[in-house]
Amino acid sequence: MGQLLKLYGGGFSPLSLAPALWLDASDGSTLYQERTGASATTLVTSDADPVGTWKDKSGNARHVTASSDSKRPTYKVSTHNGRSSIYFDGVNDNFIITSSILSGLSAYSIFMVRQWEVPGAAAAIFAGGNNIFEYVTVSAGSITGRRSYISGGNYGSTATLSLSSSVVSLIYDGTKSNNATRLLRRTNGTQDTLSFTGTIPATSDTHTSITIGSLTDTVSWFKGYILEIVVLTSKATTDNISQMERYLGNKWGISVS
Amino acid sequence: MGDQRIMTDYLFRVLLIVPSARKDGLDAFIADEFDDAEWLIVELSPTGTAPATHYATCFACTMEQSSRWAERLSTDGGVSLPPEFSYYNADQRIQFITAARPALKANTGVIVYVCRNDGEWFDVEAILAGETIKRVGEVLP
Repeated sequence: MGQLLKLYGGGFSPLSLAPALWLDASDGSTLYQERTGASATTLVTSDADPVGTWKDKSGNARHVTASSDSKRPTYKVSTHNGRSSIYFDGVNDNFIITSSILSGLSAYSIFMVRQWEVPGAAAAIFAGGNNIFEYVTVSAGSITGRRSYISGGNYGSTATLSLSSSVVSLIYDGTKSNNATRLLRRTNGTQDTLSFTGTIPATSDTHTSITIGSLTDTVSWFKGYILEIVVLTSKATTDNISQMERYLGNKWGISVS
Repeated sequence: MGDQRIMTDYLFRVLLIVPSARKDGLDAFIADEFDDAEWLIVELSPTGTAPATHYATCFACTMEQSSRWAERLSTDGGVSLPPEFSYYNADQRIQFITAARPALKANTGVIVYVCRNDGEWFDVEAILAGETIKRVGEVLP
């Protein structure tokens, strides 16, 4: 029984990895209509309610908020494996928080479950300055670039991007010697092949805020669903990566190899 | 037993495309009526290059908020609201705003699309294409 639980991620909690940030759209007790962060009181209750605050479950109180009522993404009920999600409209929906958790690090790990729709222009899901996961460019209605950045101008790209809901992982380790070992990207438990532009640096870029659903608070808006995000300010071990990906895959009904 | 889910109060989804000359006025209206943060931040132009000729925002709003928007847009656009507008249900309001869209656009340049927020949304990319207007630029990190 213990082996079965381990195999399917049962009993595992992201809290065991001491995350710096943990956002879980399936937990309705963390989603509020107001943009007031910790003091928000009105929970979302109905499909299509706006989400002004998404509370952090890491214990670090890094609650993310929309910076205007017009930017509030939308709560969607039972969209993925019977669980609720947050939908970003690709026009002007996002969250932001003043935070420098990824600044000047030699390693970090980001795990995310999301479902892209093709945006009308370049778009990003998660950005701490130039620490960006994922960024796409768009031309004539098609996605043409799929990038993950650790610093400006230096990134790894995948040849394809699944538009299905997926568990994606970004593992950065600046102590390694070259691009291919410094930046790993995985989709549904399988390592992606990255092509690199520039040099993935030994230390991550500094930043003062994190946006979720856009590149900054004013440009490059994500279109689609964000289901869960977990950020570690360290390199996850191989076992931890596997645990996290299985946990997320099992939870959201996504097959993880 | 049927569907017991509670309906959201946010029944409307609105896309506003505003000519640059009207941006400040609507920003002031938004600040007075809704929110002191800037809403009209999406830059648009016919060619997709700067400078922006139009600005857009997309948001959800309630019945009460829809009344304030309708009043403002109709006043600006010279389109009279029917006296019974406040008694209209959500679908009737959407029908009215949709019918008034050409006059609002002709009189002010402001383009308004409204749909049910709890139903199928409008296609923003198709609207932009139909209005022959594009997002300005692309910012590469």
